[in-house]
Amino acid sequence: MLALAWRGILRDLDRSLLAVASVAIAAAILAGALALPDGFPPSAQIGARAIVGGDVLAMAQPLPGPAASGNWAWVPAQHTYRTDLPLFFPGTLGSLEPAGAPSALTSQQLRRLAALPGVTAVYPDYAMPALGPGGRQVVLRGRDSTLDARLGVQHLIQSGRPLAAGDGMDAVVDAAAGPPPASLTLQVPTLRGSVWDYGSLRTLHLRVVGGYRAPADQPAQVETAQGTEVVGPTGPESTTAYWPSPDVWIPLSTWLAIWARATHGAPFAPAQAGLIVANTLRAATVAKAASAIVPAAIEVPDLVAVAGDSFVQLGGSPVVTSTRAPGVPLALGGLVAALAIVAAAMVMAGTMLTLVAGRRHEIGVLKALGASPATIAGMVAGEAGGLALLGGALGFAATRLVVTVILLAAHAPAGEIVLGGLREAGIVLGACLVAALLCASLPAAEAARLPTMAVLRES
Amino acid sequence: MSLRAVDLTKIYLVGQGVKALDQVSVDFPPGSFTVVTGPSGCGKSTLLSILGGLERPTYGEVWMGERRVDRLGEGELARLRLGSIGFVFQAFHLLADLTAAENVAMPLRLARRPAARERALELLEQVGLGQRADHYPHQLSGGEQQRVAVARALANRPAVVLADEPTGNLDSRSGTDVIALLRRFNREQGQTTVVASHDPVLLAEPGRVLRLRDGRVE
Repeated sequence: MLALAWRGILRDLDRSLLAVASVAIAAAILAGALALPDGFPPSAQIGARAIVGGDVLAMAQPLPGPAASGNWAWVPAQHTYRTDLPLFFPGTLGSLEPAGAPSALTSQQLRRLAALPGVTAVYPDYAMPALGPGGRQVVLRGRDSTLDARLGVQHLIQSGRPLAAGDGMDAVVDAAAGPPPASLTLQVPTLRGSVWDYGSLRTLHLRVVGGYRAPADQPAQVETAQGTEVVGPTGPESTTAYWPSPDVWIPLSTWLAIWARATHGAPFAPAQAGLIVANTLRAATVAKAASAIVPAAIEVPDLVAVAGDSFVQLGGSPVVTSTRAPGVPLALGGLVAALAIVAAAMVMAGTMLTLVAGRRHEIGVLKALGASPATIAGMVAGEAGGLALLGGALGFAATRLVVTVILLAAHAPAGEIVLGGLREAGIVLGACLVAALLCASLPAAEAARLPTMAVLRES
Repeated sequence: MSLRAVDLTKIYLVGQGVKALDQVSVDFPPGSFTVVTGPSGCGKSTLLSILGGLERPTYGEVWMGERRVDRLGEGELARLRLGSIGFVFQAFHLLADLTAAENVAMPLRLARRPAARERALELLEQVGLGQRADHYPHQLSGGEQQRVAVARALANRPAVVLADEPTGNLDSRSGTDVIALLRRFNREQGQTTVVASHDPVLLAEPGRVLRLRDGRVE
């Protein structure tokens, strides 16, 4: 039967090659779509890296995960609070800060991080507290428009424009709640020692030039989550409710000037910095190297993964819960791959119908000899499956070759390349086979139903 | 194995309906050699195709030994043809893409029998085509093709051989050779052999002759 099938393929070589080629193209597209996460992890989409400030987050304090939540404590106090960790900012009654001495990245650490192989830029987290309209706390962030452009911040802009070189007292604000106002007035506390003094506030008038919206699955809200305090009839009360503080982005030069005035010239030391790497494939390698320099270095996808769970728990209330959704490129790649498979399967069905029509005599003879309908259907389906596997293997091999070269150039571990290749090969070949068999079922059934004597009499 | 038809009627639904067989009842004893003859259109081929399970009768019964053939499902019929019936057709019906040996081995492969090629070569030797085993049908003469078809029909050692006009497309010498082969195998191996033909050479052979006219046994 194999010989018969093989010679049948050769006899109708043009159609067989068309079927193989169509499946090969579909397999190549599918393999490419599957390989996308190798180079662009879903959580390392532009939005996440733009918000975080890089592909790897280097932190002065380890981020508390579920296993380390005991490292964080709610510290009640009156009016002033210790908070030289600018991730979290005080309210009027308390602050969320790590137990033990807070710390910041030293300039030496920042230099060593910048010198790591694969790191093209270090983006310190320029952040300080401020009060927005109605006394609502906001985080005032200094943004470098050049680095923002490299991180793809423009993709987050919902209205207006991102910050640009030459901007002065301009701001881009969170537009998640609605259209941003044309202007914004903030009040900035004064730093005295290691304490922000909210009794001495400076007023800033900013022109709003744009509004941004953070992706739903990025960790910006974790960074800005904070406690709220309520003054009750019997005195201060703290709650365990948390909500995100909106970020207000201002040009870095403006931010540095404000910092200098608010701190009377105290040097700025960031609690965290984003490392922008040349190739996102190397983010994990860079994170590992950075961990030798700082207490915690987290690859952005991992950070998002942590945020996807109950990230920081205090009093049993999760600060953030979010659901990871596949990025647009992945979804689009999957859609294109699915369409390609469907198109290839239709070509395969047409090919098999033509092959069956051209083999009526052969099928009739086989049935007369004693081939059962199942055998005949299996022969047709087997032939379609064979063509699909051949095409699938060719298409997959072509794409995987390119992917492997890219992965090797990015110093991806050989084991991961091999395992990833095997996994994707199984998916691609399985999809091609299933699609071909589904589409061959009609011609296979038709072949099995051919009336033996009628077919033999035709010839 | 005996072969028996009881009141076989076959009506083809063409136009007002064509009655190809009309209440034909006939027995073919085990090991017998029967020639079914009659003018064109008398129902010879229809009778053989129904006896072999290639078609179903409109009415009547077909028995092979103690087994009623006309009530079998498609899968069971296929198994019956594969294991118990060998066909020889007027148009040979060899598979053009396979060699003579591969054609003869095909029923063995369908039945998943071991040593299919060896058995095929043995049969080809028996029909005098041992040297032509690797030739394709288009490289063989008509007589050689029909001898390959005879070898193929005997591959699974069937109990019944049905030959429909086996000499119809052959010259007289080749036809004589094929008839001699069918007679020899019937004699040596004891298959119940039914040959539809109006070849005078065949009719002159010893054995039973069943004459059909207008779908009825004369």
